[in-house]
Amino acid sequence: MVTERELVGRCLSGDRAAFDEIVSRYQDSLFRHLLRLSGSYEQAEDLSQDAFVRFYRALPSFDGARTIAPFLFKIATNLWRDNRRSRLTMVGEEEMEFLAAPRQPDQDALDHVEQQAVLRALRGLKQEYREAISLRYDQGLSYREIGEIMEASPGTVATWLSRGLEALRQSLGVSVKEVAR
Amino acid sequence: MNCGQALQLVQAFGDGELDAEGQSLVREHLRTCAACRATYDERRRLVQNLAAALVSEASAPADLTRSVSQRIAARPMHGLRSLVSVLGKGRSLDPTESRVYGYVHGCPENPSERSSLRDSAISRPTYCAKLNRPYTLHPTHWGRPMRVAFSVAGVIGVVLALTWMLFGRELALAKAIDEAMRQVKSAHFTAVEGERRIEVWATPEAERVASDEGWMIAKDGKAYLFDSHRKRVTITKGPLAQLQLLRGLNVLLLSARVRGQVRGEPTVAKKTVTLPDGRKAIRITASGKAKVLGVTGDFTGTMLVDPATNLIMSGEVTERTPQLEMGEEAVRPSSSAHTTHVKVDSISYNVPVPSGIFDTTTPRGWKVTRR
Repeated sequence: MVTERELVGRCLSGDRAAFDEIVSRYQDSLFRHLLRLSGSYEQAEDLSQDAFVRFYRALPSFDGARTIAPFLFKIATNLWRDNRRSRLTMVGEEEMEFLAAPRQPDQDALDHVEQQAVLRALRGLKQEYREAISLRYDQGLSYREIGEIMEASPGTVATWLSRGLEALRQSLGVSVKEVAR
Repeated sequence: MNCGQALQLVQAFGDGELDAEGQSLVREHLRTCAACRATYDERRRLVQNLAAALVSEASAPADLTRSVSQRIAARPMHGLRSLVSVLGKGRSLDPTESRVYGYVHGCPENPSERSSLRDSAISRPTYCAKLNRPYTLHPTHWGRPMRVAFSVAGVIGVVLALTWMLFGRELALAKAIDEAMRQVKSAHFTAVEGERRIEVWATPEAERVASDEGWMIAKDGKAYLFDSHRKRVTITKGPLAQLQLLRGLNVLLLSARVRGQVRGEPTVAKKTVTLPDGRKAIRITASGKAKVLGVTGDFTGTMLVDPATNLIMSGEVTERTPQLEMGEEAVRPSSSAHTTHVKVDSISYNVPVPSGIFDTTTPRGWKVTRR
C-alpha cells in the first residue's frame, strides 16, 4: 500500500491519480464527520468537496512528514464553522431521521436498533463532546491531533471525551429504561 | 491511586493516551478495584458499540471523488488560474459551488433522487421546506470571463502604476523631447528676438538662420555668416560657430537640453491647456541654468506641445547671461549682463526644404574672410 507521504509527493508533482487515491481513502470518514457536525447530508457532501479541494490547494504548504488526517479534518472543521455562521436554514428533524436510516439492508436488525439508539444519543450531546467523540472513535485520531483540530489541549480533549461518554452512557441508560417500561 | 483519580484517567487509559507510568498506575488500580474495573468494562463496551455505530453510519456519495476531481481540474494548483482565484477571492469559477441550499417542497427521502433534484433546482425559484418561505436565487459568483477580465485589468493597472512610479518623472519632459526629436527631419519656424525677426530652417545635417541683417548656415561643423551690411561672408569654426548656432536654435528649450547645455535638473511643470482656437496642448514651463560657451546663465522657458504627437507647437525663452563679446578669435564674457528674449511660433515639421537654402557657395560680388 502506498504511503501517505508518497501520495503527497506524487500529488505535488502533478499526479492527479494520487490525489484521487487520497480522496478515496478519506472520503467516507470525512463525510461522516461532517455529517455529525452539520446534521445534513447535503451540507456534508458539499463541505467534503470543499475540504478536499482546499486541501489540494494547500498541499504545497503541507508538511509531508505529518499524517493527512489531522490536517484534512482541521480544514473540514473550519469550513463547517464558517458555513454554520453563514447558514440561514436550520436542519429539521426529518433530516436527522434520514441520517439514521439503515445503510445496509442485510444488517442485523438488533444491531441496527442499538446503533440507532447510540447515534441518536450522540446527537443529543454538546457540540464539543460530539466532535471529539467522532474524531476519536471514528477517525482514530490521538488526543493531541484532536486538540489541534479543535484548538484545545490534549487534557481538555480527554475531559470532553470522558464527559461525553459518561453523558452518552447515561442517555442510553435512560433510553433502555424507557424501552423496558 | 484512589478511585476518583482512576475514574478521571480510565478513559485515557483505555484509549492508550497515558504515558507509561500513568498506564501502569491505572492498570494496577483496575486490577485491585472491582468497582472501577466494572466502570472501565462498561466504558469499553460503550466505545466498541459507539465505534461500530459511527463507522456504519453513512458513506460518502458515490460521485464525491469525481466531483472533487472535476473541481480541481477547473482550478489547478499552480499557474495563472491560481492568480485569478486570488484576485477574484470569494467568487468561484466552479459552477458546482452555486448549489442551492435548502429543500424543495415534497423533496424525496432517497439521497440520490434528492441530489438530482437539488441540481435541477438551481435554475428555478424554490422554497425552503423548513422555513416555508420563498427565496430567490441570485448568482453566487461572477462569470469566468468577468473574473479573467478583472484580473487582467488588475495586472495591467499594477504594471502601469509601477512604470509610472519608476519612470514617470523621466517620461514627463524627456519623452516629449525624445519624441519630438525622433520624428522631426526638418523644421521651419520664425522667431522674434528683440527687434529682429528670425527665420530658422533646420534639418539633421544643417541649420539656417536668417534675418534682415543677413543669414547664417551651420553645416559640417562650420558656420557661414553672410553679413548683408558689410557684404562679406565669414566662415568660422569652433566656439563662435557653436555660439551662432545656439543663438538661432536655443529658442527651443528642448534644443538646449538635448545638446547638453542645460545644467542640472531644470524645474519643470506640465499642464494641459486649451488654446484659443479650441485645440488641446500640453504647456511645459521650465527654469534653470544653461551654460553657453563656458558662461552660465539663467533661463526660463515655456513651450506648448501637441499631446497627440509630442511635437512643439510654440516656444518662448528668456535667457539672462553675462554679455558675450565676440572678438576676432574668441568669445569672452563681459561684466555687463545680457538678456535675450526669443519667442517662437509658426513651427512646421517635416516640411519640404527649399533647394539651395543650405548652399554655402559664395554669392557673386561678395568676398570671403576666414577665421
